[in-house]
Amino acid sequence: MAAAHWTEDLFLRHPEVFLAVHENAWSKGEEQARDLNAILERFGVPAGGRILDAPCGIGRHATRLAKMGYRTVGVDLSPVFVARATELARQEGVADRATYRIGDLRRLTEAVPVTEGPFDAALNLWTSLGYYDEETDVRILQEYGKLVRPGGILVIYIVNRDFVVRHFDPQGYEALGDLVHIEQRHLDLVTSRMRNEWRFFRRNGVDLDHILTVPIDHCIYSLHELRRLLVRGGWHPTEAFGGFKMDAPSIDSPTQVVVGRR
Amino acid sequence: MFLEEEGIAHGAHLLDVPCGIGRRAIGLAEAGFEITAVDPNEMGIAAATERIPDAVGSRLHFATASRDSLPGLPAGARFDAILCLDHALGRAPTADDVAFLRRLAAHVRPEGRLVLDLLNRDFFASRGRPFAFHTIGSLEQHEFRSFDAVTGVLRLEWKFYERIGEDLKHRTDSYAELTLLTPRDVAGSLGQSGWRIVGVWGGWRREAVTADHRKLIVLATPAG
Repeated sequence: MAAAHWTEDLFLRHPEVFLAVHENAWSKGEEQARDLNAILERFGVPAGGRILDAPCGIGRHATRLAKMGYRTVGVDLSPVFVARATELARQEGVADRATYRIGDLRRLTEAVPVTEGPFDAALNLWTSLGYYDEETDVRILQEYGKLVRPGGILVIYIVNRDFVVRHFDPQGYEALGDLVHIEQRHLDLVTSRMRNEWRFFRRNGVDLDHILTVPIDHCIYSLHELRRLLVRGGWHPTEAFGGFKMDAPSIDSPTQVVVGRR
Repeated sequence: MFLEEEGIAHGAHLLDVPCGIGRRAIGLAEAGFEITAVDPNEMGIAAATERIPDAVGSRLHFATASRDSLPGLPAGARFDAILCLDHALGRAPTADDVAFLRRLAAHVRPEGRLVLDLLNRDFFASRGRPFAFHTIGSLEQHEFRSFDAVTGVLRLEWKFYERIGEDLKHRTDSYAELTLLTPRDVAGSLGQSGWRIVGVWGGWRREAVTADHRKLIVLATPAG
């Protein structure tokens, strides 16, 4: 039997680990959603418009956008994240405007049938491309295209390959409450694939009890590659930014935002 | 190799200070050098002395001495080269480093060499790498780094764990605070202590120094 893809390990078999990562990022969603709102307005998405957020995690953007008046549908591979997103939307009083469902990006229109469209905008946030091969990324971009109206947009927020090359740090450490996340990173400059080993531990007094080790393997893109990918996926690249604040793209910006128009 | 390129060949007399637990000194003695190896840590020196292989017993001598009294050697002792490695400067005020280097200058032959191996300030100042881990056998060392550009102090905090299966059992903590120096800073201290710089490199293969080199290899000779 072939080994499971790492996304299945991380998001389906051990969702409780990455759930903690999502929960930790939840508070950052407020400001990011305000910034996203400015991006949506700039590209003509109407107030109260329909937004598709995939993958949505626990809805830290989609639920906030719903609070600003948008009608959002969030899709995620993980039933645990979707359940938590639904719960948080209810707590925030927007369960009627932010709905969540389980689905795979590669087959987005199975989770959200084309008849439910069209959306004014689709969001692909937090480095959620490059998990498979490039052809799969093209198909994923095409899937968004089936659900967004002509003239609508796709916003991609993703790590900046140029930054990673310039500022490569081979090891990383993050403490999220009791959870400790230790990373060993490897960047293959020929294939542009990051091959990282993520180890998760639970603090137990001064000890670290091992929870999970996941080998992460994903492709990272430079800006011109993302623009080409958009074209191949049926989108017209418009502007690109260094982050949610719409600052100019830069080799020193860890992230990049590209906006495609359908 | 680095020493040989400087004309410091087998049979030359070396002073290794501080020598730590003596691993390097034993290796150099096995390579044919005559070595006096000095460190302030008595336990380290006692352990090192017990580990001296019989074959090199006549060429290797360990001694305990504090930096203040260094080298604690006969007044006339003169070495062909002095090795001062593992970032031995920047652990005390600059005036102490200068006094230490001056004491060393009294124990080198006129055309002798001083070899320093220091952490490169520009490497640490130009990249925020707050964490690293290393594995040594079943030990895993977590290193947390913070660099203060104003004082030039790099603070390193270490947590040592033992790997039991995939769990990490905490064993001990430690830390160090090191003042990191630019080549200019090093030249200043050497100039004040009777030394003249022969060369500064980014590594043992004499790479040109850039901010991408973690270490500075500095070679000096008595100013004469």
